[in-house]
Amino acid sequence: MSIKIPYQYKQSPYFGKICDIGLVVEIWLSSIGYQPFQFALDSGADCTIVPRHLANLTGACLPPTPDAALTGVDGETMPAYTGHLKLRIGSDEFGVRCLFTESDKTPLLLGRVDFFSLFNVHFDNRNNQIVLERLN
Amino acid sequence: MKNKVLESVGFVACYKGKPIATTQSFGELVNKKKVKQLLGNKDLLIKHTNPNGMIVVYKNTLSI
Repeated sequence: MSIKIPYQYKQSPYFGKICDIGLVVEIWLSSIGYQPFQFALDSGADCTIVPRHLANLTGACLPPTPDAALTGVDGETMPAYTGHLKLRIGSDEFGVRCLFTESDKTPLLLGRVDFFSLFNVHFDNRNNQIVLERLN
Repeated sequence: MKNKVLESVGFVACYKGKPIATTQSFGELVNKKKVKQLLGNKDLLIKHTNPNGMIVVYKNTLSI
């Protein structure tokens, strides 16, 4: 069974219309239940990345000091904590390992680790949609 | 509210498709009273937002 998510679009003064790959994913929050968040589906991101404050809502126990770091192509690094998120898309529940970044301004990025093992991701540019197919 | 959403980089909470709060940080947003009260509601959507026309590149997402 596949899940089809239409592209969203934004306007750029340089390039005109650009598709914006926003994916609504529910995150399990302790004592609240599932809450919808919009992630950027980022096939260029090694793993899922979310702001640290989200760990408070999920009930995740983070180590006292950052145990990971993100490094960008420009060499800059950002401290982070390894963790896990319980997610749901439609009726599909699954878990992904993630990094909680020290910064509280980090966008929610759905990266490749675990997600790409669980789903076949098809950028269907003919029909302007993302098609997700559960693999296992 | 609409203009505020378009002018700032940060996070926005939308309820039934309409923005109800924007902040520059995630923690600030989810601690706002009206957002906190709606957490768990399927009509509430929390997302990152960018000003119209901004080119966005996520640069800290490689080589853990």
